[in-house]
Amino acid sequence: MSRRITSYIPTLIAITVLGFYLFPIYWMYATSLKGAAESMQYPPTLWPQDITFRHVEVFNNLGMGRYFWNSLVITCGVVALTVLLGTGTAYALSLYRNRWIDLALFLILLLQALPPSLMVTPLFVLFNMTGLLDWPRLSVVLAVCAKSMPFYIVICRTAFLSVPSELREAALVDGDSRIGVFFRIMLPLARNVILISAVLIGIQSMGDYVYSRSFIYDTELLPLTVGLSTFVGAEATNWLGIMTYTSILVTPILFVFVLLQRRLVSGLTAGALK
Amino acid sequence: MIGFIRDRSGFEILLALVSIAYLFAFAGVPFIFNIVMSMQKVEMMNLASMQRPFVGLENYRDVFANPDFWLIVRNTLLFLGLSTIFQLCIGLALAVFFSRDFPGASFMRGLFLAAWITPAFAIGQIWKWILSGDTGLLNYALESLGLIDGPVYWLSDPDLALYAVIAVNIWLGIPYYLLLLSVGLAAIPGDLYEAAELDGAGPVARFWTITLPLMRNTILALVALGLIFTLQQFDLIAALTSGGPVNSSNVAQFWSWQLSFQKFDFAAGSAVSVLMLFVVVFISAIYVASTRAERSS
Amino acid sequence: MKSAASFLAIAVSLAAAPVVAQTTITIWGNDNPQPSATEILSAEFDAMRDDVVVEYRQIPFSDLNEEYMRAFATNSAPDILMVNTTDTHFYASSGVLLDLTDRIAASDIIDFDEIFPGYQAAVTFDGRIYQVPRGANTLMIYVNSAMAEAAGIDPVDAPESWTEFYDYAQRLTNADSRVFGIAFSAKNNQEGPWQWLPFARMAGAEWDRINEPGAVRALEMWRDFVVNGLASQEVLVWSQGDAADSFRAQRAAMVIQGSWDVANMVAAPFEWNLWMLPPEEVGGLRVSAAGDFTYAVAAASDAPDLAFEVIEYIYSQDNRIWNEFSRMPARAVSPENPNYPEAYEAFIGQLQYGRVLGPNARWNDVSVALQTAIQASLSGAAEPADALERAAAEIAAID
Repeated sequence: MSRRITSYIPTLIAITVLGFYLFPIYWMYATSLKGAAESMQYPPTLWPQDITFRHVEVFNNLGMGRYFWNSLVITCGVVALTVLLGTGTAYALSLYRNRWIDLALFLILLLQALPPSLMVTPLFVLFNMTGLLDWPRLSVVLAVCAKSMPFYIVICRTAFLSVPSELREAALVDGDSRIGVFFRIMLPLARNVILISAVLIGIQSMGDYVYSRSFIYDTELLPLTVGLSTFVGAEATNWLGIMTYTSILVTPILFVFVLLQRRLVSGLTAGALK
Repeated sequence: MIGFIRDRSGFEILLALVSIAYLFAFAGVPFIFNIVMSMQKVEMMNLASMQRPFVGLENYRDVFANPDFWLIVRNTLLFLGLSTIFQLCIGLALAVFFSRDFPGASFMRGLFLAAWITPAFAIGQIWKWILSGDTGLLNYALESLGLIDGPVYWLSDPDLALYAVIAVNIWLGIPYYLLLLSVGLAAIPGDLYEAAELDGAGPVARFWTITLPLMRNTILALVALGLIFTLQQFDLIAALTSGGPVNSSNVAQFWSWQLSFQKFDFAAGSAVSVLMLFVVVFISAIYVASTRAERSS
Repeated sequence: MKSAASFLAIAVSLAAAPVVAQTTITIWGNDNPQPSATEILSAEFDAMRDDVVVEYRQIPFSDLNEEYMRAFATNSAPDILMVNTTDTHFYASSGVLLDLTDRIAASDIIDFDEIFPGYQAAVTFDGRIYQVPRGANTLMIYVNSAMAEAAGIDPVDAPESWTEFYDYAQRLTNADSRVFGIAFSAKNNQEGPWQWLPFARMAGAEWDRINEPGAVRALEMWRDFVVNGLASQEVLVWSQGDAADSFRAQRAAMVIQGSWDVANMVAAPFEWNLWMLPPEEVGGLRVSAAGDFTYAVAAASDAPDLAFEVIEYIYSQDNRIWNEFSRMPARAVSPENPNYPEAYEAFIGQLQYGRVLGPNARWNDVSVALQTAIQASLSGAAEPADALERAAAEIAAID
């Protein structure tokens, strides 16, 4: 009996910690449900008194469905490209230890050092010259990928590192080709780190603003982040609209990612490496 | 040729080269563009070309001579250091806590991601409301609990603004460390812990002798990347304080933007960003050096 | 709304039998969202003409200049761009804009002489005209009527001097109920100087001689507001919107806020009144702010005449923009039945004294120097006189 109850204590602690941590997010949802006058009251009301549900209105007025779709397209593009190009590199960089590898790793880290606000002008010039701006979302994908790839490579490399080298050597001795070893043995063992990193990159690329704003002119092709900025005028900012928009944006994405990470992280057992 | 790829190291080299080529094209070119720009005289019309009057290190001299320079250096270092230390420690503590098998653990861990999914612009404003001196929730709560007797001006007091911004940044960075450390923790075989426990080691000892050493590679990678991410954190500062008041919360990346896009002094903005690059060079070099001691089992 | 107008445009052009060759005019700008004046009015023009398709791109305010400069540098600028009055001289002096002087002189729709003088100065550079103003806004003091009466002040009785103004702020401050006498914005972006410069100007100073005693007195008054608790310390990080929010939450009895916010103010749950910004002495010089956007045509545009026609059309709709978009015209044309008629009258009255920031081709640099001075003084880091000396030196050093 007592064992049953005490096993819930960590849950309670977790809920409390989470409650504190997520309070600002709760505040966003609460504000999005408040009426204009109530949102400015002091002392602030913790729970909306006068619930105004303007979410459908915001969704339609702004055509958020279109923005969602564009964000999805861009995010999938970035994740696909990053995983495709980065996984192999992470693997290759985990195998050897020599000066070339050191240099490659060093350069990879260094190349992501510049913030997007500085990268955007030369990239704009590059894309303009090569005509890539005619495919604005592709341009955004290419630009964001250059930012996320180093992160992905460095993290995945540590995953490949933790695979015992004996496994790989044994397979090679057994006559497996290097390609085969990569696909049949190394990838499955690093699978979870790859997927979690892909998840984080996905979330990050949903948050890209600078590239999307600078490369995409057509309102039909804008992603969610830039759509949000239409609420900000030169003098007036519609904060209630912003909170409403943000709550619509966050909810489905959060839902998807919570389910994803749950499967990925808790799918790990120590036996995976044996 | 095919044989080289299939059976010799050609395959792996090919894998590595593809993405390095990609990065050179899409990250290397802008990189060089900026370094070159920092040594030229830039204005609107020559913003896009590489041919501009060359002025050597003059822009750097101007940047160093700027009266706010050392303040910004100090702020940036504090911002980087404090953010990373706390993010890592809190992230690690939470990761260890949530790696235990209690009901709802993995679900709740995922909810931390909400901070990352919400656009930084909205996060900035929410925290601005919470930290508002006269009408903010934090002051209201602290006063109701009797911990303070008047409003504390978290964001507009020059002595506090930087730390308020750092605190929000710590809050923002926790999911990143939490999630990736969780993956690393889960990879540690449970029987190692059991064996240690049988040998009489308490939880703290197990943490120090098993968890930390096995997590070494992961932690180093996360810290290196985390430092670089923090160095680029822009939206939060823009939303909370715009670097003010009186530059007390201004850090290098925001200053670079101000110089480029508020004063239209692009060359100075580039120069500041190149100086930031030196910090990244330092971080990357240390990280790469630390990988020499890698190789598990 | 845009999609409805475009749909209408497409339907109309499909219904008309022959297919006419179409020119696309691109407009970039920043308009207050929903309803967006430029988007809607240009779509109307689009619907009226078969041979023109108008595309509007909304750019967030803080990114405007960056986008424009990159576009000009890569020769990918739009036909029409919205230029804020603070930047008009900068773009005009860079040679990227079309000289509109002759077109305006020949225009039946635009009469340059009826535009308010402050705006005439903003769009004229070196004797030539490069932009067309599309609206006007100004700053006034909104005062909470009930709080004023409680402090023994008649809400229609505007302060006529700075002494009276300061006295009102003192009487309206209630430390026990945590209400401040006044709220304004002293943020370190364009908003700080925008709110403060009218006062400096009323005391006889100007941005290019900002260390004059008049400016010092103006900055000292602002400093005293904060240091003596009549205004919150948060003004240092508040935007004008934040200051107005604190007024609407009844945490401040007065706020210096603009004409654009009148709709939000009307929605507030209390009565308020409008006061003109007080001159330094009774009967002294009156100045207020004047700003908003202008329309310019890019020099590299390949359809300048058509672009100018779009601008003319929008200009011709000036009598609608107050009621539909909360924007005042930059000339003396009165809408019939204006919304909030008393407020409208008050704004027009204040606008007579409105002066734009600058105008100067390097206004951004000037603005940064002023921002630093304001922030340093209000936070106690420097004395106003010293802060303004430093600012004056920085401004003089701008080449």
